Amino acid sequence: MDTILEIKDLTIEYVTEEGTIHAVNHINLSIEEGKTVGLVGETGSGKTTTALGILNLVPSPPGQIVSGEILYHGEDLLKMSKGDIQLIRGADISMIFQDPMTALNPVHTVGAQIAEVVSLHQDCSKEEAWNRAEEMLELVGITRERSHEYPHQFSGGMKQRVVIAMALACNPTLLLADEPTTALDVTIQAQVLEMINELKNRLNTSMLLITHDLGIVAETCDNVAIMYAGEIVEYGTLEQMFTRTAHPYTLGLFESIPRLDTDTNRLRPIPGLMPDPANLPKGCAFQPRCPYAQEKCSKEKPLTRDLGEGHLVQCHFAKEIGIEKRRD
Amino acid sequence: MIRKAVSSQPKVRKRRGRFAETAHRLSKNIPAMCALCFVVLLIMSAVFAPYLAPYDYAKQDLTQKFVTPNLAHPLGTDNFGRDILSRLLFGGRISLLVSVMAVAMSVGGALIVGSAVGYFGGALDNIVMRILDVFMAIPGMLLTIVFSVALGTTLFDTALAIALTSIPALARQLRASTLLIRDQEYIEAAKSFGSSHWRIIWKHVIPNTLAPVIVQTSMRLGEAILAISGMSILGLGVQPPTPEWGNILASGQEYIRTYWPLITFPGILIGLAMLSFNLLGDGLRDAMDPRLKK
Amino acid sequence: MVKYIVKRVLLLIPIVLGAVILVFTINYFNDSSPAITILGAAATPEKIAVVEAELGLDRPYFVQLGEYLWNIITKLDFGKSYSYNVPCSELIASRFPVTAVLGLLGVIISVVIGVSLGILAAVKQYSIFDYGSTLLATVFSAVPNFWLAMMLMLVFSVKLRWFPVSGLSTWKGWILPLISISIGPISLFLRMTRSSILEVIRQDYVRTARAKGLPEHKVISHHVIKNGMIPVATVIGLFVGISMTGTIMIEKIFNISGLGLLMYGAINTNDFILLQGCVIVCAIIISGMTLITDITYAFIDPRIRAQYVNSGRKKRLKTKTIKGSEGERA
Repeated sequence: MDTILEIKDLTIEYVTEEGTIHAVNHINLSIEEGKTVGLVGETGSGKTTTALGILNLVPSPPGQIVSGEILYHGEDLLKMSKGDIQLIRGADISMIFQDPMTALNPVHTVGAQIAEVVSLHQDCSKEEAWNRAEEMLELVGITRERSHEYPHQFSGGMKQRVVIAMALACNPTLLLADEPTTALDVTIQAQVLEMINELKNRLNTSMLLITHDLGIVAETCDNVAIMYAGEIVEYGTLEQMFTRTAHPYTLGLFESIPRLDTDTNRLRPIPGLMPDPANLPKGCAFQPRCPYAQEKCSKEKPLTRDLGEGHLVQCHFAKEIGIEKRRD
Repeated sequence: MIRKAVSSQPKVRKRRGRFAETAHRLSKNIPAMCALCFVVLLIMSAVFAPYLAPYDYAKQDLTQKFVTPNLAHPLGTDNFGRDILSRLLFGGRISLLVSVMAVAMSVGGALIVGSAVGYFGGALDNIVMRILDVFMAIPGMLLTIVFSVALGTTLFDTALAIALTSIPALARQLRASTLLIRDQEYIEAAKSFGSSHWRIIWKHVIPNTLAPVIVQTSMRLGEAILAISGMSILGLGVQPPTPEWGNILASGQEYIRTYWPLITFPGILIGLAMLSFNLLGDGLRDAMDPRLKK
Repeated sequence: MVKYIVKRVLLLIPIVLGAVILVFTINYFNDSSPAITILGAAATPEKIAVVEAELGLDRPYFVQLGEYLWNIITKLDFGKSYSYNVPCSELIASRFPVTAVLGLLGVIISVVIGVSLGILAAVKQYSIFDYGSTLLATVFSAVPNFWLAMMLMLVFSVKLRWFPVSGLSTWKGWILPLISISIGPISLFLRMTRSSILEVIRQDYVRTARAKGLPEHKVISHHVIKNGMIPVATVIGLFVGISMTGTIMIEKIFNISGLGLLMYGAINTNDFILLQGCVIVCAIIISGMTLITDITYAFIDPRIRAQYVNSGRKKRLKTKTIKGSEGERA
């Protein structure tokens, strides 16, 4: 299977007066054609920054991409000229943003906003672009007539549908979905998610799904990357993650959500808070909160190891923890 | 993410009172501090004008008319041979005094009208707001002229004319902040203790609108100085021979073809005073509520 | 939309009437008598009483007010000037065009220059241009226009002799007055536009526009400027007022015979009725301008338009207070 996107050693920092914030630290990640990769982590772990980095849209200043390569079909997006990456944005790689309330421009009609991206990337007349926009609206379940309405006339869930229609209007090969359902009501969440999934399969689009909801991951993803303090601490297939969890942080995530299938009396949340990304601890970033931490963890940064079959983990004691966990 | 890092900062910093925190933030704002220094300098020079002035501001010497600046007369002399520096020092007293009076009256009036109207609401609010709308339909400068013509040209009348003009806008703003406070829970709490309305206004509403009031006071002082000198240009306001920056400037206009110091120096002072009060107001606004910072 | 415009015009009427009554009332309580103006040095108490009776000034307040209002509404008659002894409306009509042209040109110049510099400064934030223009704007917004006029006159007319010292007889005569009127508003528009545009650039929908692959200049022209202009557009109407009152001073200094100079004369000859007429005319024009801006505003912003079209009063008042605070900040 073809690899569409390959992120190598990506590091992104925000330089502010209070110090340098290490948002993304040396991450590696690849996405294959037609697959969905889930990027899971807490708020502030660098998920959104990674997605913005792929489109080279990290706000600068204060943000800057310090090192790394992002290969899209073998071409480095970070080395591309402004004009070239503009041709890719919206056409080959598009993004769904977290908050549909603010992602649409209030002074243009939704139809115009979708038609804009169509006529930008496709060689067509204004009428054709508008037609395509209306088609896309219908595809996401909004009637054609509403294309002349303004964003404030839509509800949150409807706005997110518009955003999705806009993102998919040019049949992108890669979709970056940044917590597409977080801002929506629970009842709408499932609908929207199902719709994204269905459209993605129909258009054979690959997807990077950013979320902090492991339930969503279990439903939609093929591969999962767990992000903590700007690093990918564990990566593997959905099965590997759920059955052979190896990183203590991932374990913590699973233990902090309620489960219906086992009889758990109480949740076990991860103690403490994520470290200040302006001043990360020495050694392993998770070590201050890790129940398995030993002396080595606070001194030496763990390297990424392969536990077999592409299951990658960044922990000194992953094997031991994995074995212990399975014994439980 | 950035916001998160920033918000974790104050934990490290020592906790200070609200006033100290404001002062600390203000002290870091270089333009505002320069402005504050200049304002203090203006006040000091107005207070100590009799000691600082090299000559009697009213003493005429017709042999010394239109002397260009030299060591004896650092800023030259005017059309009656009076020392310009001395006149500007004493003129600063009048300009500052009138603007302080005007701002005190307008802030006081606006506080009463704005907080009462905002607090009680209802028909009173509606009527007063419509009246203020009428006031605001007439451009400020024209309204000041009309008031000034009707009231007269003493220092107090001039201050009153300026104050009456600026009350509506300020009262409207204070009404808006009062409306926000009125529905807060601690007002409910105070009511449940049986506090009287005026006590609540005095104890709770006014202190909470203080931040915008202080900022506005600084801004309005600058505007008042401008308005006073503007009135003088039109022949209203403080009348010669009492020195006032505006009427010194106005007297210079006649001699613009031949003598430059008489229009240059008072204008610089008016401009600097306005700039300082504006910068100080901006600085105070940012220091009192960092969220408002643009 | 038509309904909305009609409604706004109807709402304007009580405000304008109120303004007329206010100005009339302030003047009514003026201590000095217009009879002194008419009689000059020859005034004796008896003669003053006669003249006052002729003018109808001995009648009750409400009778005088009623007559004044009636004459304005039915005949556009603002009374007879005491010092010129001709109808005020004639004087105002003959002087008004110059002031209107000066004021409008001033607003157009300040909007065009101030807004474009503001957009440039915001788009090139942190550049030398940004710092320089913001600094200059801060300084110039504190320079009184009448002093600026005198200094410009001193340097360019008296010393360098590039421009005439007074009057508008040649095109050169317009330049210094227009600069003097515009510098302050340019600074204010620059600062307002800059902060408004910076606010918009931070918005998520601008990021969306970039993520669509729009080139930066299109992001700015399609998604930033229109949104950023909305708050600026709301205060243009207010600036017509500021610009017109600014011309009063400038006309006096450059000796331009417009409404400002007429008012200056009225002030110094105690011709209250003429002053009153001038102020009322200005207030009416400025209210009209504010109305036009409000309507334009509703056309630019679909959110506001929807509010106006759909329903009533509550929402309209809400936008009005927002606008009010904008104006006060200016």
